[in-house]
Amino acid sequence: MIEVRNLTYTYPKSQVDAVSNISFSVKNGEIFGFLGPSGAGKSTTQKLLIKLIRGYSGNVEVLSRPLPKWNGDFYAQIGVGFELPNHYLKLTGEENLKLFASFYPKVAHKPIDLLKMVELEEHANKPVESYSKGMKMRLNFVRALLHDPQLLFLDEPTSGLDPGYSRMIKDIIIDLKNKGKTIFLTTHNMHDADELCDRVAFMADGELKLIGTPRDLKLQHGSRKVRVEVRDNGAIGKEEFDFCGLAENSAFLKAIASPNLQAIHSCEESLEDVFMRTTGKKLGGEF
Amino acid sequence: MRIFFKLLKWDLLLLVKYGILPVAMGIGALYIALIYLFSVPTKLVVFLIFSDPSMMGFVFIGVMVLFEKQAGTTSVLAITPLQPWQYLLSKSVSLTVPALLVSVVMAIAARSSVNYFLLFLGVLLTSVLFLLIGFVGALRVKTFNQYILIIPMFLAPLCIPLVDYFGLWKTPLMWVIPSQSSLTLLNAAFSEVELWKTILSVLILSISIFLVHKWAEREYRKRMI
Repeated sequence: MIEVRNLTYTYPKSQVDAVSNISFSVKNGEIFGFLGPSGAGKSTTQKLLIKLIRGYSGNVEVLSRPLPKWNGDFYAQIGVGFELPNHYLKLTGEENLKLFASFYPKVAHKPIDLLKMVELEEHANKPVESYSKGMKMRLNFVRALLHDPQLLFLDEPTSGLDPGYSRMIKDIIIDLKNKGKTIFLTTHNMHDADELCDRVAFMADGELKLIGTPRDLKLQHGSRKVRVEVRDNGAIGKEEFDFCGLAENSAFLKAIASPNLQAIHSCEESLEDVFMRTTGKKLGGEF
Repeated sequence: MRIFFKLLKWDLLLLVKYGILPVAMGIGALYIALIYLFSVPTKLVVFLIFSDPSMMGFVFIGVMVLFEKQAGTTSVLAITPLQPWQYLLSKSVSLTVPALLVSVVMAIAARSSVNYFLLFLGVLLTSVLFLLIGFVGALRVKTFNQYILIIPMFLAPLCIPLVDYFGLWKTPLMWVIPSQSSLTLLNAAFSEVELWKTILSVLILSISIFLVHKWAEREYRKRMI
């Protein structure tokens, strides 16, 4: 679906590469997470992939065609959800969707159906300037689905949403994947990435540091240990045991046989820990 | 063309919702009343038609593009199948039609003999030229304040031919500036002007529009994000 080889891009008047010699591929029907802190080169990469900025070196193929060979119909094949809300504020939510729908040769969804999908139907006839940020973000999201694109680029789709609506958007993304859509998800929210993505790529300082499934990355980079918590005279005692020989480890067996056993955890790292260990950088953002 | 006509409908609605169309019509009505009540001389009527319906498009398109830029919708337009020429044509038509209407009523209010074909042509070409220049100007700034500051930079050179028009300094060099052709064409709608000058004006304005349109398309691809 997407093939990127040795992609490098430097902004005009800049001495530093915003994106430096990165290579990756996104398979048909997968959710590919592009993770990194602000300024890592995520958004620049996305802008390059959707032809909003040009003048790169390297090879990029999107939807099985080299990017330079795509013309205007490229945008009828892809959907883009922006990080920040961008609507005609004086128009209503429904008018906004109708306006953008008029640019596509085929529109798959009625605007009102999309508004219902994100519980905005009651606000369909209100001007967008009266919407909260969360409502504008939900409108942003469904606008990308108007023409039923095969490939979606979503930039921080749950940003500014409360947990309930964040759940709703994530469920819709999973549903889209189940319908065979390919999703390129740009985010610094490791929880979303961990939950949604089939594979993730870590970006830092314009470089691609690591690619893999969230599960593999957490297991490979975490320690193969189990932590057992047992209450002892009111205090919680924590003990870690190596996976190796666990079935014969008498201390472990004794701990889990204790009537005061409180909890057992595997000591895999979180995706955020893996990111920090790999890139040496912290992620900003909401958790 | 289907996309263009749909966008045109939305652009007209946005012009109303942003208050641009009511303001444009209000200013036009003021000029019409002035011309009607004070029997303004033809020379001044031509100047008013040049300065208001024709040139004001420069300001109005700037306001519209800046509204779009500030709302971030220009970035969204850039990732739809909408082509730059469709965007520019829709903006040009939606702002030129009101300019034509106001100009015709101004001409009627002047109660002098008018060649409406030449008036129509003069306003159409001048308005489109100034709209395209205004579009390029608006894309280069971020705020309304910055836009107000650059207006004189763009408009002052285009006003130089008024010196020739009012007879203060006549020189053939004025033909280098396209607005000389605008004034000649608008003047031809009200007074006798040599045919070669009328034809030359149409040619110069058409070539200018072609060139500025190319410039605007390039700027659209470069700066709409």
